[in-house]
Amino acid sequence: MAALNPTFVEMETPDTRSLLDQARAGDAGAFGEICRVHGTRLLRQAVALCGNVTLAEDLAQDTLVEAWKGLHRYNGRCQFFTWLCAILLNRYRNVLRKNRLQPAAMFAGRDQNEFEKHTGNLADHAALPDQAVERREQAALVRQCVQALPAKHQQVIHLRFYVDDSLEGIAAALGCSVGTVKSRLFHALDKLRKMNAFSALLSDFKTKGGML
Amino acid sequence: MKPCAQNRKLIVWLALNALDAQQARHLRAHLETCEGCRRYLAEISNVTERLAEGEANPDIEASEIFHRKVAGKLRAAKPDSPGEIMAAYFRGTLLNWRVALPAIAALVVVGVTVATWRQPPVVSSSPKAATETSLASDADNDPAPTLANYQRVANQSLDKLDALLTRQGNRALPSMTIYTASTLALAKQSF
Repeated sequence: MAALNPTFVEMETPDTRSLLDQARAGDAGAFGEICRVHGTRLLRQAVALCGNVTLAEDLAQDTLVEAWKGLHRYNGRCQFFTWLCAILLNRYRNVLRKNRLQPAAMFAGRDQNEFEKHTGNLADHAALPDQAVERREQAALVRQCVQALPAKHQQVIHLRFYVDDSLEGIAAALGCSVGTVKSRLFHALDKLRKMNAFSALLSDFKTKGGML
Repeated sequence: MKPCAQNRKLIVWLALNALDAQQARHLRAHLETCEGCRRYLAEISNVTERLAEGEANPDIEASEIFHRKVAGKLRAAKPDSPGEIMAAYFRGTLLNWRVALPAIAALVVVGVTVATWRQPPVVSSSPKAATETSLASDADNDPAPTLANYQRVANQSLDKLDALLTRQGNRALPSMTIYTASTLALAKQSF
């Protein structure tokens, strides 16, 4: 049974809800404060999606601006961050469609260097504990597999496992029914199960001590 | 060994903690006896565990420059005006097939109803109606109701005479003065 990831703890507090009410009333300053609360987490999600820090920053900024412009659409039936991530996922899908970008470029060429520079690791793998390297590369592999899924399946996987909202919250954020979310999750997980890259390579990864 | 086809979705939802208690209890009882389903649950659980292990780059922090850029973009952008909100609502609603299809169907039904209501009554093509129509048109060409004419038609055919008498019997009587004993006396006085 999948345990919920402790990294993704919901950040909505009475304070942020109060800021949200003020922003809904047209207070741009209050929305700016909300952006400060969610900015880092949203940027991490964007980097996890596209693997390119520059593009991720643009995506996260545009997501926050779009959220401000369309704040009237947020109905409070899901966590505000889940709603932000739904916007982020749509924007990323549009960028891919527009630019025909290859997703999951995190560990490829200059994007890898850029990513490492931003994360402060500066490509010094020897300085990192082996376990951390292994975990990071496993996570990258898992993301590559997820990004091979159709967009609608990627969305539910991302929101369920990386944003960690309830099925009802995901349904509200995507504007569909809970049944649809469950059905998409079933198909997405079943496809991942069938992926050789997901099962065989991960077990291979473990046996070879993290050197793919 | 393959899992039972009807249980695959339930097994995935069990792995996601998305089954209610009763369904989960039934499924667990089945899993004890079915190796295929048990293996499927193990594979799906492996996938969900791998996904749950994923990290969202905990080393990354939004810089002050990032927040300043956001603030600048927010200043440049304004929330949607009421008109834009309405347009977005209708755009979103009409592009949603679950709303669009019933709406189109309702429009078609209303259109057909209005068209039918406005259309003039169509002449029925039933045999009875056709007979009545032909009788009406024949009535215009009927000879005057005199004994000589009746004899002439009877010489041609008794059926024709019967039809002529039926038509004339059905035709409304022309407006004429009907003389009775009292009205005749009044008429003589006026002459």
